[in-house]
Amino acid sequence: MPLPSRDFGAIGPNEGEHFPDVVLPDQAGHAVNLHEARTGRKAIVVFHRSAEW
Amino acid sequence: MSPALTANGVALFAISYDTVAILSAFAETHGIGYSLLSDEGSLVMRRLGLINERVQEDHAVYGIASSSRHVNLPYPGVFVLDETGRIIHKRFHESYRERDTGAGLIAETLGIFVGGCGGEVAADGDTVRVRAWLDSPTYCAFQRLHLTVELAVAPGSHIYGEPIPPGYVPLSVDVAPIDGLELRPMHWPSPHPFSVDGLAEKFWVHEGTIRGVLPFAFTAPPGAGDQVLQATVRYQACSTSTCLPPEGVRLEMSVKETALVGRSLPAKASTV
Repeated sequence: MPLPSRDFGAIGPNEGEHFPDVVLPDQAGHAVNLHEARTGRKAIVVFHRSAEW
Repeated sequence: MSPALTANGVALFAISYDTVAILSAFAETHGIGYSLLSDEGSLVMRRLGLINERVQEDHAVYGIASSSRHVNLPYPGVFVLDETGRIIHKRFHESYRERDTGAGLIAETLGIFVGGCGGEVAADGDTVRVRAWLDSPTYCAFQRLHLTVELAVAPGSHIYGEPIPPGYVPLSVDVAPIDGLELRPMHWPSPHPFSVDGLAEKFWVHEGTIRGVLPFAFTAPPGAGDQVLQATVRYQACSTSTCLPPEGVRLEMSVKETALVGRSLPAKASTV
């Protein structure tokens, strides 16, 4: 059974837009402001399912 | 992936809905040096519009049992940001089965080539040196890997792209078929127009060092075993005065099967 078709380009913010501000705790429990932590560098932001399963 | 990124001045963040405790244990077990961010409750992923509301339905299609853990899951995907924080590339996948290797993603999106991650092979000719490598020495089923082919053409010579007049051989890469091997189109830099005094023919050529990237995946069920990728690189090198005969260089690269992190391969794979 095929999956229903879906426009994956429409998921989330678009190319050309500023990536939204995100502040989340890292694995050490320290709050990380993504844009501040980039310190002017390019960045890759990966969204993935649980590391646990 | 992380050292290659750091060396090239790229920050890496991985976001999931796991708790800090789970991420901490995962980072320790797998020696992860980059930031794993905990979006417990998936609030950020929801704000960004990344939640797959149909994940249960999709899992049913793939035969994965329903679970209370399968809610508030994001579509798996990647954003690439430039120095100002602007999104210069994004890629979301249809399922969790298809993933990118880190190096290949960097090569495709940032133009940074990380050689030698997988087995590298080379063939030296007088005029053209061919190198090829995979972005990972291992694969797991449905993971997207990348074959990079590099041709270094001696100064004063060129190789042909397309369109091409009859009688000449353009640059091409053929990969021998393997059950379950899915190849995507190969990306090359655009050739530039070229003409030779006294010849009416118009050519499109590559000069210097060029690299092409071929995304591929092994889509046979887990347990298919280790694979050998056989790629044949064809080209014809000429200068303004001399044309060499077409060459075909065959390169073999092996890639070992691995299970997803935290999973094991079916028993039959261990006997291979």
